[in-house]
Amino acid sequence: MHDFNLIAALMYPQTLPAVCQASNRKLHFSVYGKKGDAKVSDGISTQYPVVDHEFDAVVVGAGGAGLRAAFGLSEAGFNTACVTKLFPTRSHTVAAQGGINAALGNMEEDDWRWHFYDTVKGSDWLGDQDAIHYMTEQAPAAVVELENFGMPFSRTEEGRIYQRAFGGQSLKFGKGGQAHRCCCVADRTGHSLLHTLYGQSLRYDTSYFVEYFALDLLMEDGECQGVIALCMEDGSIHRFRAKNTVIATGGYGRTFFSCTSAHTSTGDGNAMVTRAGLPLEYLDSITSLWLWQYIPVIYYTGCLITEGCRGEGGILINSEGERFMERYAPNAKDLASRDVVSRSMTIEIREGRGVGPDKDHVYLQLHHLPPQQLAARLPGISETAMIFAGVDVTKDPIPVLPTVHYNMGGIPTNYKGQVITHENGEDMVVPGLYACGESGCASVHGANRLGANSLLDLVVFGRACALTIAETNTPGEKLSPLKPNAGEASVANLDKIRFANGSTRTSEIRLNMQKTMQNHAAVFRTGDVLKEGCEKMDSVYKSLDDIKTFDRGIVWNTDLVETLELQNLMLNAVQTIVSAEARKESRGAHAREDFKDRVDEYDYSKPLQGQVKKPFEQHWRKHTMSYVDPKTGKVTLEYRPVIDNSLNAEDCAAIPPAIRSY
Amino acid sequence: MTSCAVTLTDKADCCQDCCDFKILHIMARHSKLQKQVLSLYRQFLRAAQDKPGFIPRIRDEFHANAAIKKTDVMHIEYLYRRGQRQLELLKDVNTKQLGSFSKSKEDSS
Repeated sequence: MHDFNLIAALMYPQTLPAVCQASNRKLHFSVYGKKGDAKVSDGISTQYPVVDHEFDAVVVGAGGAGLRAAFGLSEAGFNTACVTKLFPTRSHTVAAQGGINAALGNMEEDDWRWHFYDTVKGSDWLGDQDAIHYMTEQAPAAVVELENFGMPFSRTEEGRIYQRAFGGQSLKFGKGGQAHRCCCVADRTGHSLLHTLYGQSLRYDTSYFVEYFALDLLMEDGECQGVIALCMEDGSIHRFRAKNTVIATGGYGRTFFSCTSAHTSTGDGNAMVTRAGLPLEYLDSITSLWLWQYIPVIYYTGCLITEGCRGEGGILINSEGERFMERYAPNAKDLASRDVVSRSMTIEIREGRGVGPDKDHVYLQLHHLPPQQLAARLPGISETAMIFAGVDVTKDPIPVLPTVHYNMGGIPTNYKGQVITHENGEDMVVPGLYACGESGCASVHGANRLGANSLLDLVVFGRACALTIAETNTPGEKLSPLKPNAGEASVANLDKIRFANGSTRTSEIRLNMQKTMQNHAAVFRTGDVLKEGCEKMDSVYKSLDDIKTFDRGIVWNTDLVETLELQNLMLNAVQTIVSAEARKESRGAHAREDFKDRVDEYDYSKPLQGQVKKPFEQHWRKHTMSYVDPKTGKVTLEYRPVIDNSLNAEDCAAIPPAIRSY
Repeated sequence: MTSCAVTLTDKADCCQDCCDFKILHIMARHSKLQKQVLSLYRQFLRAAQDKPGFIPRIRDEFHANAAIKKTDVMHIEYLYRRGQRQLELLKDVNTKQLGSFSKSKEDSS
């Protein structure tokens, strides 16, 4: 145990004792040239320069949500910094294909309340209806704003925005047939969205810190005071102090062996929040499993084939040439919600009607559509299929398989984008912290996300965070004092990893984690398999202590950054699998073989009269809130009720739960 | 700042003293790259006037890199470009101070 001296920097005379015994972190903080520096200058082995910055707001992540929040804040006059580990146009938003849902009514008469109904039903009544109300009501305005920014939407012949059919979208509260509500840009909507937003963001004076890896939040007395980040280019540490921090770091698909996410989807924001002692919401039904491409080689390609193919008329075929979705979803057929489609595909494969030499995938058929339509509306898919599977979509079907695509859970927020915790039965706002995008959980997607709602989620809640901050703060406000050694734990961790000399490599531990998650927490889950998975994940987590890194430098140390990302992935993975094991029901994308039904407070398959409402502890229509102790990897679970009322009952009535069938 | 030839100011003296110094006489004027590095150093010092903690670090960094050979142009240019980016960051009004976390020798394994 080492006591260490905190050098009292002259900047903060009022806050520090001369000696602080709190920890054995073994790091001293000092400001160069100040008194007392001489004491530590002898015998220093490693020194990490720390540059302090002060801003009004910091946004972590520069994908769709991050950029929208950043320039929304700059527009409102706030001095904003955007810290990102990737160049903005390389964020994973660029890979989104399908489109954005909005009830514009260009193809047929439409109403945002029908969109509201579809989203609530799609979430299997686990979505917070006030947030869904907010999102679907703002949707048309959001899409028109994007169009005004210059996003090159596909057009109908009259010149209006082309809207295609998408999974789970219906008219007249489910009774009016398929709705055409998804505004798209051929099949590369995410790409155009991100480039449009990036172009717009350059008009404002946001300071971009590109290729800065955010390590942790700076928390003081339960308030968030900024972030600490590592500059990958020169190895310096930067502390961004701000009264408002927005997290928009994306999802964590890379915890699984096969997924459609980029290698950079490592759940950094989620992990930062966990390490700050705050809960994460609803990580159990973590993924909206999705169609994926399979080549008959050993490992999958993981190329995304958008739902838009099915929206344009593509159909799923099994080995008997049957359009099997008609059996599972008689009304919506191939355009049922994604979790229904994924489960149907998996059941077909398990019952032996898969195609290919191993009968382990199904076909997506597009060649019955006119080639001009394929070329105009689905050019990217045609090319992807040709390059990665050697398939000409005008002649042959594409081999596909469900795989991990999106995680619905994340940092819990209210509909305004403020991060919340749940104490004593009440939602409490964490001051200074906001979250949006895939990393935030408002929760609009609930147990299952409908296609094309994610891009909508990004722009609506990115803007919502900026508006909330503008409402409650003024630019140029004085910052509250911060301890001089704030962020020390993060730097100590960085130092520990940089010089780690155990016996297992980062890549081995990562592979173990990915294989464990893939085998134990996939489409269909069983109690025993999940329990075994929890135990295996626990041992993989502990193996992190024995990690070995090779690069000891500090400039562009990708070994170090990958190990930090692995730490973040691990925190996400343990919470996912433990929450999934605890949730004993099937809801949305969380499907269990041993508990096949939904367990709500009433049994909605029978009339409600005469039924006794189950107490909160006995039903599962609630959000899981998970905490992790980062040292041991132990997960604690708590629960929080779903918000069942919309923002304004006259404008839009809340939808009471019902049985979900397509 | 590269070789100690930079510090010589009076070339007339060295010619008279000894013919060994003839080489130093030729190299007494700074090359373009040396001038750029010196100018960068001056700009750094000017920008770091009001921000605590930067000046000692700037001095240390430049003095440490002064040992690089004058002929190693690639390395010098790389450091110069990096220095320019860091100067932009320093000039930014939001950058406030420079501190450091240091680990003492006895604590590192």
